[in-house]
Amino acid sequence: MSPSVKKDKNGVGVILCDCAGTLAKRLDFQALAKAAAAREGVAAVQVTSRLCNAKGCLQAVKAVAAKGCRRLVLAACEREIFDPALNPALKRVRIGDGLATFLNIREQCAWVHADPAAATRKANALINAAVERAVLLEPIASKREPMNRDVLILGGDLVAMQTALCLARMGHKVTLASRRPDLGGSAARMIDFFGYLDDTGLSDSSDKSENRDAETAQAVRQVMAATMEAVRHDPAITFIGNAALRSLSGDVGRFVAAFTTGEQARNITAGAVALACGELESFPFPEHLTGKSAVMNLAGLAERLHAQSFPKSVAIFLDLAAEQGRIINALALTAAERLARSRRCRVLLFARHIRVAAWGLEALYRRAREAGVLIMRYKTKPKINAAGNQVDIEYQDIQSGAVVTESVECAIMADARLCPGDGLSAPGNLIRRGPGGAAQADNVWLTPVLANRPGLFVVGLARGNSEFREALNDAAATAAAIQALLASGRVTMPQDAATVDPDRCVLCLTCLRTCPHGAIRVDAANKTAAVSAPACRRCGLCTTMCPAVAIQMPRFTDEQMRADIGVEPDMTVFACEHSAWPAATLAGVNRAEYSSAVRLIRVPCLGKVDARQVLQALERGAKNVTLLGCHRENCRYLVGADHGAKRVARLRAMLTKAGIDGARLRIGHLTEFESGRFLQFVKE
Amino acid sequence: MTTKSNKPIRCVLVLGGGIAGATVAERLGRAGLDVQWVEKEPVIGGQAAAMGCKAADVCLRCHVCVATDRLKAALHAPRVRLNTRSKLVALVPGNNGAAYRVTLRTEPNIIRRERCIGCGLCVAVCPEHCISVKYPALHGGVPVLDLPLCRRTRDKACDRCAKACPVQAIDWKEPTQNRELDVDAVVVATGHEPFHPGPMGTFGYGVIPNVISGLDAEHQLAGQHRITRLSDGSAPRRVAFIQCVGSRSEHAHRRPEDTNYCSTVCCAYALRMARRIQHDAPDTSVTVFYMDIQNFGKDFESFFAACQKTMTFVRARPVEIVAGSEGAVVIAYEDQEKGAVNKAEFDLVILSIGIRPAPAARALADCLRLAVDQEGFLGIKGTAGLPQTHCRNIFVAGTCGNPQDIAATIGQAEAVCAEILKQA
Ligand SMILES: Cc1cc2nc3c(=O)[nH]c(=O)nc-3n(C[C@H](O)[C@H](O)[C@H](O)COP(=O)(O)OP(=O)(O)OC[C@H]3O[C@@H](n4cnc5c(N)ncnc54)[C@H](O)[C@@H]3O)c2cc1C
Ligand code: SF4
Ligand code: SF4
Ligand code: SF4
Ligand code: SF4
Repeated sequence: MSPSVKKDKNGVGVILCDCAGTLAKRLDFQALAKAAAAREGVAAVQVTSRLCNAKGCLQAVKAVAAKGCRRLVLAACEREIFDPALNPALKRVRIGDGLATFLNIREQCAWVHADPAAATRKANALINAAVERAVLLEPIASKREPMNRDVLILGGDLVAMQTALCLARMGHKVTLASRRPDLGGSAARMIDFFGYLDDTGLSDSSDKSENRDAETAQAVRQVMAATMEAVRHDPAITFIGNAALRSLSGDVGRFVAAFTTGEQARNITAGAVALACGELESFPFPEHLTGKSAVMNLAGLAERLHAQSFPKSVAIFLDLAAEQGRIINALALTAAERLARSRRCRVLLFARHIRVAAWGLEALYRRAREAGVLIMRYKTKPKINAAGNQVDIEYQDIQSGAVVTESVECAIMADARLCPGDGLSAPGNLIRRGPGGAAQADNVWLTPVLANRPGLFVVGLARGNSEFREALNDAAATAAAIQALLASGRVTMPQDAATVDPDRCVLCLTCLRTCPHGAIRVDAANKTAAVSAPACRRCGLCTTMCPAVAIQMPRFTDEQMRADIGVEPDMTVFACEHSAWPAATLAGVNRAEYSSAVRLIRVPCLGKVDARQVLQALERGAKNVTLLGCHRENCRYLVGADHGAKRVARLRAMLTKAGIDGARLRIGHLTEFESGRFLQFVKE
Repeated sequence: MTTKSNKPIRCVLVLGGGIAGATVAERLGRAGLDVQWVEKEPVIGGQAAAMGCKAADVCLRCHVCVATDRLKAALHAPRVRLNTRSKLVALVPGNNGAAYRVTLRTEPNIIRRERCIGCGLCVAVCPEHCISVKYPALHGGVPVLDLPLCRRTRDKACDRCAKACPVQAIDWKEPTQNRELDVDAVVVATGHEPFHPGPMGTFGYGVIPNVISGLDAEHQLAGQHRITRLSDGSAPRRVAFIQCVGSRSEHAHRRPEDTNYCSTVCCAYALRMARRIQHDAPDTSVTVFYMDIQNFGKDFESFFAACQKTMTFVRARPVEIVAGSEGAVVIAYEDQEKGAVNKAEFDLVILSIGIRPAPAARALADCLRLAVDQEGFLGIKGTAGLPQTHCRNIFVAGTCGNPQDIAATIGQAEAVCAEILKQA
């Protein structure tokens, strides 16, 4: 925007919308307009009836622009409702991004406060605060940043290859880097055990079932072979074997991955990185079974499956080392069925629970039983002993409660666990891990294939997703997401990311450790921390953690937030824009009633509110202050809600020490559709 | 695998406004394709829009909020044209290089959503209460009109709502429309039908008031953020969940209402609800009757371990459920460990119902000539990630293809987008 905006702090235009006249019963628009016009800094006030209508909106915006206003206060309903009309109108009058501020007089005033005087009083207070904020606004420019269109995929198994192929078809150059020497991965070794992928899904055992079994195995082999073939011949895909990841620096659009392959070091640059390097690994056997020839894991069975002679009786064990999931159950059930049907083995399958929650698995389970597999569900672990060609099992029969012993010739310990991939843990990689070390944190907003860092994706086993078809879908979903990110080779970004003031930064690196999205790096040349705009998700966490107060977020500066708090707030609610804010809107839609003393302040995340804002609100007369945001562990920025909760606990203790009732500060958690919970919090 | 068509895909028809359809519509619209989005109901949302949050002290990862968010995003996505109260009536090979020519039939919506400002005046004046707001978290105050209840449908004069509307959003002249469109690809995302426990009789659903289904419990959570007894609105002190109701049945061959597969979602939602109930009222006892508890979520091991500490798990299928005194429900079950029939009394019984193919799916499959599997779900599930329809550029996403939870549905829908974008 023109530099004149900066100088002219008086050109605030206030637009009020009475929603086709429907709000007039609860709000005195004349009084509101008069009060607004009298405020310092306000150059024009316009009451409109249809801000959400292209014509009405343009008229109103033009009217205030004609009076020289370059900053706007929009008092209406929710922004998303009138944005389609507002954005083109602002363009027409050349009011740039960042120079408008919004407040809700419909869902937060007229619809929830029955007393017109009280509703009008609150609307007036909100307008006052908004004008104070508007004066502080700076225009936000947009900047184009180039994005590297090449993609790096870590891994070389089926899902890694499928991701690569899909991206190559979409026009990206892809490097597949695997720690193993060749393509294929660990699933290739157990390729015969995917019986549930049988495409008939039939649960009855017709006499063709032996054939079907072989056909399914053949089909899986074919998928694997065809994929490898296609990858080898695709000129857009390069494979690097024996590649060990050393570090992953840079960020979205410009990652640099450092590898060593053998003695050599090499760097690969990419705009996006997909982690498809997860594998399943068998648990080590208990000590007394280690090294016994009659005891093996599923991979061992796969090797011996086609041998001439095979034991006549087999016991397969699940859930001994840890609760097993669908894929291991699928492998174990297929193995059991094959041994029983083709090898005429006596097969006992011991498990705590049979996991069949994937299409085709229940049918496989049924076929296995029909083939004669005995399913033994246990509560207490069976005791297993092996000597020579004999395995003795002692277990408690569930029905009779009696202790029974069995002898078989072979024991298969099927339990496996996730092994998400090597080299991901290096601290500089800034990857937040999930349970079991998965390369994806356990947060629903990362569904399906996002990682904490923008530009980083997690596929299949690396994120703990082991089911064959779902993992293939991960591969395609990752390709689609990367395509959306990199297709144009550039990104246009408003410059509203967190910004570090190099003069204040003392390089304590608190922000670098705080940022959940790995968006902060050290700028060694300028001796300061620096934020990557494309990687920053605008949560504001870093701004509250920096001990030197060196970081500001342009749309939520400390000054702006102070303005938001207003004067003499009664009940200040810092409302996360992802949950509490829409929940309040929903309460309005439901015409819920609550006290007009409640003032909502919109924040990007609970983690954006710190001691300063809380104390300011209390200083300005708030009787109590509530932080309302997402449920813990549901934060879109992963940890913001937890930060908020910890901070509130600390502050309460501090307040109590200082002789102020700590109970005046509270925190609450809800989702965007829990308007009932919102009401509980503001009514208490 | 689908064969690659010569002409790039520009225009896509998406059938179904649940989470699967929403994900596809939003992603493709943002990628610059033209999307015709079709929903048979007056509003989008599907099953997930009517479900509740199950967070206890922390989020329990049921994904309902994610579904809400994505449904909302689809409503605001560019290049997506939403057709509500619409159905596909015909599909024939297309002209001008388009793969298909489709005929859409749109019944009158009456309330023009693009005009409505959600003021609620019409809702207040309707004498028959046939105007109401559905899924306000998605649609704000924009209401829907239930035509069969309306006086005008019964040949009576009434125009109170149209008169009340300040922005002329109520259009009684809107005709039923048949439109023909050329599309390059079709995505079928028409969803599932929750199992209806009524016909099973044995579990007393619909007869004993304090026997409710998992879906009823979801709706309670969504509406009132807690689960209560139907008989007196009180919070139950003793709750039982019965797993696999209608699923994994050994008798599916002679009981057509049953299914012989695992519905994959019910263990997860039941245990999450149970945790939520115990979080709200820690002295509530929870008993789960089950065959096998399915593994779900990233952190299943510790989640399940915590559940086992505070809940009783009984591996048994109830043989009989009868009403007790004061609204109580008595469950008789075979105690496998003791081999005897046991009885236990509860305040509330929740039937963990599963997912069935929608009855109308078969007709749709016939219209599109799609492959259908044994159980009536669309597409053949083999070694590919997506169900195979055996029709060029027709894809299946979500629970119309096979039972799956919201997370898997989103993953599958995004995979469908990849298939389409490869050819765009
Ligand atoms: C009791 C219960 C509880 C559950 N709880 C959870 C949970 O907590 N977490 C979880 O992840 N999953 C849960 N699920 C599963 C979840 O409901 C599904 O994964 C999800 O709803 C699937 O979405 P969908 O888009 O495939 O189908 P749907 O949600 O069924 O949506 C399909 C849409 O298509 C429309 N439609 C149908 N036919 C046509 C047609 N011919 N033309 C146009 N439109 C059509 C329908 O009106 C509907 O809007 C639960 C399921 C049940 C039964
Ligand atoms: S605002 Fe959030 S995402 Fe951006 S740099 Fe700060 S902590 Fe990271
Ligand atoms: S419990 Fe479900 S709805 Fe609630 S926050 Fe977590 S994922 Fe969202
Ligand atoms: S009266 Fe008109 S604007 Fe108001 S809710 Fe009804 S249709 Fe919408
Ligand atoms: S998910 Fe659980 S309750 Fe549902 S069918 Fe499967 S085993 Fe039964």
